[in-house]
Amino acid sequence: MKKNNKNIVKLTLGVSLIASINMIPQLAHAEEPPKNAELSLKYLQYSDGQSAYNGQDALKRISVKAPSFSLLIPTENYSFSIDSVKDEVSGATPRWHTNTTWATPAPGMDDERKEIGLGVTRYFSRGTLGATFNNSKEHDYHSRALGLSATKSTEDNNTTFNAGLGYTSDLINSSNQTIVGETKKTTDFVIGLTQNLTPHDIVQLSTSYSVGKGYYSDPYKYVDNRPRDKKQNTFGIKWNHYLKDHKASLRMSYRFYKDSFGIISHTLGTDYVKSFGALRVTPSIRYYTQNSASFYVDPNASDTPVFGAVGYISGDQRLAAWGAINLGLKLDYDITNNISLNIKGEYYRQQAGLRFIGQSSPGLAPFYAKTLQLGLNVKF
Amino acid sequence: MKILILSLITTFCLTGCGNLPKAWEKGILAKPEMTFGGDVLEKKFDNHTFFSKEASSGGDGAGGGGCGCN
Repeated sequence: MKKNNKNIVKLTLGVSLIASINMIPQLAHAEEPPKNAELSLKYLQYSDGQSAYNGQDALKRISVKAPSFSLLIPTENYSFSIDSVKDEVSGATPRWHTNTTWATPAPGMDDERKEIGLGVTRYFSRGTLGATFNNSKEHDYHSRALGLSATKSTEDNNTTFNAGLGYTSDLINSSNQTIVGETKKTTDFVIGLTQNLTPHDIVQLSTSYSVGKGYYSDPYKYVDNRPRDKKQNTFGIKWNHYLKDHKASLRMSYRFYKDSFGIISHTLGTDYVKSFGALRVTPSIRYYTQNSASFYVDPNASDTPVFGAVGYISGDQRLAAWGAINLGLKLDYDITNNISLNIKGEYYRQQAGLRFIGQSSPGLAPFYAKTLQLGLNVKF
Repeated sequence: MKILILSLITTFCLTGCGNLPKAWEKGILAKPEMTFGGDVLEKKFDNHTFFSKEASSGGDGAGGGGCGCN
């Protein structure tokens, strides 16, 4: 790690944050262990940058290479899982608005993160109990998390209730040594429901609540002082509908988010899945919009960093008001019944003009990201 | 609290629906693309990419852990 070039948005594309994603019921059917063991390999190539804006040249920034794997092994009443990822991050630090400290594309930065996740699920006739553990280690950040989950289905298997409890402990030691031994502790809860509505419709509802204490500021900015307490709420709904005439599936989702920093956001997503023999084609679109945090300061308003500012303040563009569009296309090809290949490309664009809520931040340079995922799945 | 109340009301409405599918009518619902599972590694990558660039997160589970990207 090269000091003084640590990137505040070092896109360490790991898997920890949502490692418990498979703790949510996949369908409202009786739960039973998977019939096969499954090995998945995935390789991610990521790059991002900022477009030319207000007389500034376009700037290529971060690139990430992230190989990963997951292994699921079922037994009679249990399933065991392990997954791991290694992120290799390199590139230029972001432009001034995002990093007021070291906004330079040279000499750049590099970092590495390793993570491992373990999980076990116990299956009962109409429910499951699960536990997960995750450990994520990088140069300046160490996160450990425990998760517990439970599901329960009704007698007709049309309804499945789920609940989850998690605890995360993070340790932060910044590369510039301005922060040593800071911690962040987070407890989160989630409850949900998966409901078969018709032979062609299935809906999932969930709501989550998270409360955290500790260091939320960014040590790589001159001007960044955030509250040490944070509460987050989400409400989400997903609806999968089978289009009989098209012989295709439409997957729609919406998430409402609100937190104690003053952020409110809306996320809408749609996938369309169509099979052509052994090939499945999935185009997707996602729209996201957020308002700004109550303590966010748009650099355009003052034009210079507010050195020595008192109170909560941040110029982090992730706390500004803007909108984003993500377009994706995925191809899955079944080589045999047990072996499949997949490739997915995505383009993400974030800019103030795409916002639907909040007051715009005209000083933001449009941001874009491109990702490519290559995957192999083997059942045995 | 408002979010919780909204969730409970919506849940009540959904579970109160009539004409729910019978066991022999769930073939379509069992298709992989009709479930909420899918490609686990893909979902993790996608969600983490968004997490690193946006102020919002959560809703997919509990106890997943964090990292230094946000």
